Amino acid sequence: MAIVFGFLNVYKINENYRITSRFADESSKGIKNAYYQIHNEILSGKITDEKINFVINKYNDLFNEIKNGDFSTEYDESRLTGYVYGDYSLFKSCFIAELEYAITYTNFSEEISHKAYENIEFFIKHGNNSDAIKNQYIYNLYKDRHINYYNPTDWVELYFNYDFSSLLIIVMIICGLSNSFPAEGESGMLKLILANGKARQIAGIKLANAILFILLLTAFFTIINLITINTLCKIDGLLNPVYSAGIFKISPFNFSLLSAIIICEIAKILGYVFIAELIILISALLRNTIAAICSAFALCIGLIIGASFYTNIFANPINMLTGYNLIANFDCIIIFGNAIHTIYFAMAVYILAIVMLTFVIKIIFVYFRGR
Amino acid sequence: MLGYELKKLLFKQYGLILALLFVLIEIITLNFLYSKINFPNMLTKEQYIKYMQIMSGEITEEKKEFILSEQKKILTAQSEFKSLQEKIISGELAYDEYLSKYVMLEPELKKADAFLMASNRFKYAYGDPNRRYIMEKCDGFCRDYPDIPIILFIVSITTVCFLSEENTHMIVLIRSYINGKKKTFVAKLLALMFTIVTMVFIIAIIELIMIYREIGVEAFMYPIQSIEYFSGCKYDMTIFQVFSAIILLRTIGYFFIMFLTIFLCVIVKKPVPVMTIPFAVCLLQQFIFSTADKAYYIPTGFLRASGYFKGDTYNYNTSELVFSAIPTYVLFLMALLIVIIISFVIIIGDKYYNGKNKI
Repeated sequence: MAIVFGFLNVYKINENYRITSRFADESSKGIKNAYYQIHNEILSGKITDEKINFVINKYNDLFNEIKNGDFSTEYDESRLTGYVYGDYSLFKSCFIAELEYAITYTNFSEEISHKAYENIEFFIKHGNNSDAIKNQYIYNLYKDRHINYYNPTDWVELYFNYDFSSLLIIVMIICGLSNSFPAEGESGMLKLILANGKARQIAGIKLANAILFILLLTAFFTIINLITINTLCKIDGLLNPVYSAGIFKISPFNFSLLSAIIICEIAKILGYVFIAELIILISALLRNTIAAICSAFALCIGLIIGASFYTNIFANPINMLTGYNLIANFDCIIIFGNAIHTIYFAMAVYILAIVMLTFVIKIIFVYFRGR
Repeated sequence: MLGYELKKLLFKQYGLILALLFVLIEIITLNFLYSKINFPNMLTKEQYIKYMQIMSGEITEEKKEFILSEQKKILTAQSEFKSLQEKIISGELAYDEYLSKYVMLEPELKKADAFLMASNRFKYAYGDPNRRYIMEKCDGFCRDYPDIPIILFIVSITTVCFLSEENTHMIVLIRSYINGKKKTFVAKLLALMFTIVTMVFIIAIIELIMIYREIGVEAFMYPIQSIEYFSGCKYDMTIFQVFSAIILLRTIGYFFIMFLTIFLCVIVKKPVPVMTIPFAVCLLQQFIFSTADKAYYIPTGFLRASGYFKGDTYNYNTSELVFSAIPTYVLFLMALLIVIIISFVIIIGDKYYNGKNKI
């Protein structure tokens, strides 16, 4: 099943790339090759005056050539993309736009931090401590931001906006775990387990197995996602800050893209474990496999539909599986006078909920089912 | 034999309770899908209903004239109100005089929101007056996804019906008797099909009532193109005809899911894959295709069905083709494919009941 789903996953990533990527259609193949060639040979890495001058000079030359109007529209091997206009649009819409974003980003973030600083004074003056703390937090987050390295970031959008693998993992969780307790009852093993007096340990082992199963699935699909995306558009600049990618322009986080991947995957694992424990809880309550599977699917479909109405991460564990929303949006909670990111707080809440659910499942299995 | 199987499925295996539960879920879901339009206030609602009572149906010269005269009245009132405001700000007008003039304009001004909503319906119909009538929106009818509760019901009762004998080893006894060999499989199939068709029929009646509540009885005979979702539909059909066709196609889709589950029951014989695979197929087909039209080129397209009548659809802003019309032959090819799959499963199922017991 994992192999079939793995292939489906690769197909879906390709579909997403075909729909969203600027280089997806056949006519852009030359531009895509030239883009990555220039990056590999000249531009990737630290932003320097030489690199900026190279792009500007090249762009100006192409602009003048186009402006004069006497350029050839025929295929020309000496051109990067094969055509003058192709080279011009490559420099204009790719390199110039992206370098401009990287260079001017400091101004943009300074503007936010400056406004937050003004707000702090305003809220303190009016005795609104909560918003003053919030703005102090915004100020600290957005001040001193710089993008020093320039790397292609097409992969960022493709990776963080991709949620289909989460659906596949949920289906596999249902398949793997919804039958975990009723199967013992139906095969008569439950009587042996209870007679042996090791029901608590068995329940614990089942939960530990569920977590291991989820870890393996997450690792499997994350690796497939990264490999597939890397073949479509090179994954580069993992150590650059998240805001170096245009889609995370206002992201409140200052960590690297690699850290963003890790945090997203941790959040996803917590979401999966929580959903898995809900499924196990249902299976511990129901004695019938068919009823347990049916209920597990109904629960997951309900959660998926519910996530489109309530995007709050505390309201629905499905919202923990949407990588882009977790990293892109600014959302903080004030606890004991300190502002912390909602995602970190949500992670703590989910860990607590998972621990509580573990106890509930054990109690149900040992006492409720034992009778 | 059919009576016994039906009785067993509905009463002993709790099929009836399950059916009632899922009908209740359907009522709640459909009520949510066919929710009424949200109006900013009661006055707008009353006025909108008045407009729609006058305008509903085919576009006529009188209706065009009515819309234009109403537009003129409202625009004149709005412009006079603007000049009144300017005058009171500049001090040219006394407050009492302003009030007396405003009272005269007020009835027309309060119609503005309702008129905008009604004129949008008119504008859409005016785009192709021969094939589009003015009517309320009917968004619930245009859903492009499978009915999950009924699929859950079908997979559950099919699994119960075909797997319980394997789990309790009753299959050994069934195979030992002539009646069991020859008639059980057919009786089970007929009992399941009867249950599914009854369920679909009840839900269709409920949905018809919901549609009636939203668009009224006359609108059932309007051309299907009157609904924006079906604006590109190439068939000359009424709303009621398309509704009936969609229900019929979905029923074929449900039979496909039923036979897929039966196939897994007799081949795999384990409840987890038997239930997970049909659910997964229904769920994943919704998300795997980037453009919805592709989903109609596989048998599960019948579970959605509305897309077969949709026609070419373009993005309003970019003029990009977002849904390509499904050719009629694809509809028949898919139906043929489902018939072949069903025939294949019937042969496999019959062999299962006629097979030798493994000792």
